[in-house]
Amino acid sequence: MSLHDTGQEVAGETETGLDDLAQEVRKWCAVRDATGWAARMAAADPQARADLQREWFLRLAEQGYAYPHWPAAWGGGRSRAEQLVIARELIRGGAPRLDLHFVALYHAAATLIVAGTPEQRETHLPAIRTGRRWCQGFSEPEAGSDLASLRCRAVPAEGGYRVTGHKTWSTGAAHADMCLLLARTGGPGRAGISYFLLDLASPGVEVRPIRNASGQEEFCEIFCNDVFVPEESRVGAENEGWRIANATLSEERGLTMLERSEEMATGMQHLVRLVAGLAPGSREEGLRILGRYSERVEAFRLLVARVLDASVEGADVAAASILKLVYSELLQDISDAGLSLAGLDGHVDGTSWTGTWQSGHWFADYLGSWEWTIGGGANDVLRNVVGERVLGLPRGGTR
Amino acid sequence: MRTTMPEPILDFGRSVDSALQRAGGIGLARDAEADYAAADLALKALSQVGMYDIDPRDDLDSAAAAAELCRVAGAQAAPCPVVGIILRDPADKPFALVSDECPIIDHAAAAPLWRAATLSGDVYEARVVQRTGSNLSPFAMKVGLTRLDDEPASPQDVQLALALSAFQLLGTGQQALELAIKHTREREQFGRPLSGFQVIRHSVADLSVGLEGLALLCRFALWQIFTGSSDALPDALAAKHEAQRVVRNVLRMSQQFHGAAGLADEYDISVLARHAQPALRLPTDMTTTLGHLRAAIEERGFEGLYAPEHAHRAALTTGEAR
Ligand SMILES: Cc1cc2nc3c(=O)[nH]c(=O)nc-3n(C[C@H](O)[C@H](O)[C@H](O)COP(=O)(O)OP(=O)(O)OC[C@H]3O[C@@H](n4cnc5c(N)ncnc54)[C@H](O)[C@@H]3O)c2cc1C
Repeated sequence: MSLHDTGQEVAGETETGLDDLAQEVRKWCAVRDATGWAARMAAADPQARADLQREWFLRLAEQGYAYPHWPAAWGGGRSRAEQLVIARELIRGGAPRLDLHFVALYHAAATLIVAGTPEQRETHLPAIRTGRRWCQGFSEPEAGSDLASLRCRAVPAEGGYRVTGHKTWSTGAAHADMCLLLARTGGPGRAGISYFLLDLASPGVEVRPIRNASGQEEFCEIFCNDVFVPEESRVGAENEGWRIANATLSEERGLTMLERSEEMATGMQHLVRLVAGLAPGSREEGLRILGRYSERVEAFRLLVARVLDASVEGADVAAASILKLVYSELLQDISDAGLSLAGLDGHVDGTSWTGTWQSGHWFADYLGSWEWTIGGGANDVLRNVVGERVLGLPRGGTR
Repeated sequence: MRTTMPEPILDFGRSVDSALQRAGGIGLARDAEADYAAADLALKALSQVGMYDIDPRDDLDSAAAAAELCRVAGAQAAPCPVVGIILRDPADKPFALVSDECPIIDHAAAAPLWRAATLSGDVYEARVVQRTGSNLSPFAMKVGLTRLDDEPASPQDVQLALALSAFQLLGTGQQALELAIKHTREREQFGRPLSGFQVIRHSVADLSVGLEGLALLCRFALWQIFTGSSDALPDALAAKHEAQRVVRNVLRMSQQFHGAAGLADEYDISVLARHAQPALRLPTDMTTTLGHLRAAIEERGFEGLYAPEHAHRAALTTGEAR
């Protein structure tokens, strides 16, 4: 598919039935009061919010809107254009973001589909569809950007492994049931890492929330103290974990960026509204900012479409890294510009919770945007990936 | 203008710093979010080192002492309105600059009544009406304004409020840089300290140069308020605007160097960055401050340090108020 076709697809014109689908989703959002759900979640305390999110997820799932990107055999099977329409219309309809189900729907699902055994898929994919949540336990206090140096150990034991180690920054772990876990089964470096599906209810697992800069307890530490993990919970062969983690990371990154790019495009309305309300003296500056970001957002949407098309046959880590680089810095720039224009009005009367740039509340979204240049790989490290794998520069600072 | 602060003032700054550190340092801001009593500990420490004895309106030396105190308070994220208290009126009402469109005062709850002024000099009485509803900058509160038919605010008060707030931000930025340097020296990834990666060294170097420039601009604004031949409003606005620009960036970058830890409240940088937001955004955000600066320059001109006639005067003056 050429970039030109993709451009038209973004506008929703190439496939028949897309307009009908858009209308269907739009109507559904209105009937189901998507904005009301978002408002209730924003006002709820963390536990109540988590419960609301599961209820909302189940409604989406029932309608086929929660995992349209999954293979048809598992209840998805929508074309990329259809996925785009669904994502866009849900966002436009004010639907809350499914952040607590995010790892399950994207990362865990991709891992199971790409590298899981038939039994693992049978066990876990249906459970995700009925609301089971996952988190990701990769990072450790001493292993962030240098993930391959992780120390959490899985030692062979009767029927499986005994796992001991300390994971950190695991988003949503306090509300999750299962964890994608990387642990060391062999020697140092990438070649000694295996991939596990850890049940967080196992004896010896302890989850502790960490308070973040926005006052939320979004990420957590996970302590594993001699936790038993059965053999059948290992994904792929022993010591193959690094390869699997990389394949599934890029698989999920491209798709989530589709959603994020639509969210951003829709979010431009907040900026437009803001500039429209500016005093005549600041209008000119506001328009300049609006122009600059409209251009960048549009370029980003096209980039997402291109990367996704290029990766149809096989996921490409480097290309996915470019998307995250562009997205995170664009998000920060827009939030910052918006807050600066909104001034004090962007500071008061905030919703207490916001995932990315979607609350229309500049202060919260500005703080929220800080996460994006670190989570899922810090931008300096992504730049190394682009330099080495896309441009073929000699290997620099990393192993 | 002297490009460095006199030694006695630096000495004073060190004693303010150790008093605040003894009281709990940045931890006070963290604690005050849960229990505002922690703010009293900061006030007590500052009062013991003589905050209430300084009147920056007296002369350049007093203003410099006040500036140093504000700088150190910014570095420790002291959870109290230092600039407001230092510029309090004879009836002990603290003073704040506000925007009349959406008046917010940082740490407004520290006093029942405030004396407030807009950048154009309209004077109001302000009282707390509500917390800002945002749990993100816990102490900035919305205030209600009652217009007073007083004289317009003294230009010196307005200018000092801007300059002292720039000093406060300067301290915050310097602290953020210190934290970045310390963290990137200690934290190892890929078998070496983060500060061994050139991209990080270069960024840290840029940040320190930016802060050096800001420090000089702040001192110049202060000096100009007392000794300048013309109205110092453009200088004070320039210092504030530069502080907003530079310190916002230093905080962002320092957080970035901390990785995910920069977003966790167990780390000082996270607390510092959040508590700095009101000073970064009040009374006007950067874009609006720049608008005011442009207008002030158009109206009054901008002498600057190197204006031709000014240049030799600056070179000849040792920094004492004339
Ligand atoms: C919001 C959020 C959610 C997260 N969710 C999860 C999760 O669910 N599960 C999970 O396992 N982890 C999660 N993480 C952790 C994330 O993967 C790590 O934070 C990330 O990999 C960076 O590691 P670090 O925080 O230890 O920073 P460090 O690796 O210590 O890096 C600190 C700074 O140094 C720079 N740096 C590092 N190496 C180099 C280099 N070679 N050259 C130049 N600069 C370098 C980085 O760019 C960064 O600015 C999350 C993080 C965030 C912020």
